[in-house]
Amino acid sequence: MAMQGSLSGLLSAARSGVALSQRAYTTSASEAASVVYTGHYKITQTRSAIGVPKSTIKVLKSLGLGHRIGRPVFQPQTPIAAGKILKVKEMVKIENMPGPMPAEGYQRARATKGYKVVGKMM
Amino acid sequence: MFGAFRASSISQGGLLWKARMKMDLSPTQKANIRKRLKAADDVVKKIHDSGVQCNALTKAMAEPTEAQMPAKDKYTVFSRTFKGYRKSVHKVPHFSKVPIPRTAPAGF
Repeated sequence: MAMQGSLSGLLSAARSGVALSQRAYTTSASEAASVVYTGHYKITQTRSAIGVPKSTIKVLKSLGLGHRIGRPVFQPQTPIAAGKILKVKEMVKIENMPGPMPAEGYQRARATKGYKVVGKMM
Repeated sequence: MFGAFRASSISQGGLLWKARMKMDLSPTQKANIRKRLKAADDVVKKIHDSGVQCNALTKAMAEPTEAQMPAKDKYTVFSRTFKGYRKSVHKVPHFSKVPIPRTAPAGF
């Protein structure tokens, strides 16, 4: 695709700083083991999955999305999660959260109830 | 269309088209296309900022951003069958949530 020589292709290569003939393979085991990414992604679905190809829906589900638009999901910052997010980037918005995911998970912010249950008859 | 008769849904074989037959998009449609392109750019940028490396990110970074795209690439896509080899992007099914190529083959 980048070899076509169109003007937009040249601009995009300049933007990324990657030579037109270069492909970056970064999936060797030693490289993956040595690099540790801190932080995690907060991923929110912004579009419905209706009409979207089945392969994309599978990726959404593997990320934990697909239930409700606007409900955030958290994934560690790994190449696996990054590749999944890039597949669905038109339907999703993300934030970079510093630090690891909390062990207890994120609780949905709810208003305090005006009562406390002290017992049940049933 | 058919001689002296006005084109209506009945006269066009009883079929109903929901997309406009015209090629031009309204200013609102164009603004929303730009907004969605910027949102997708933002996702790529955030993943790049996180420091993760993967082939999908390399390919995504090689594509032009919304600011670098000419208007023709934003609002039309390459098509083998259309006159002029370009069709309006709104004719692509689910174009608002399906990845659209940001560059066309050279010369088209």
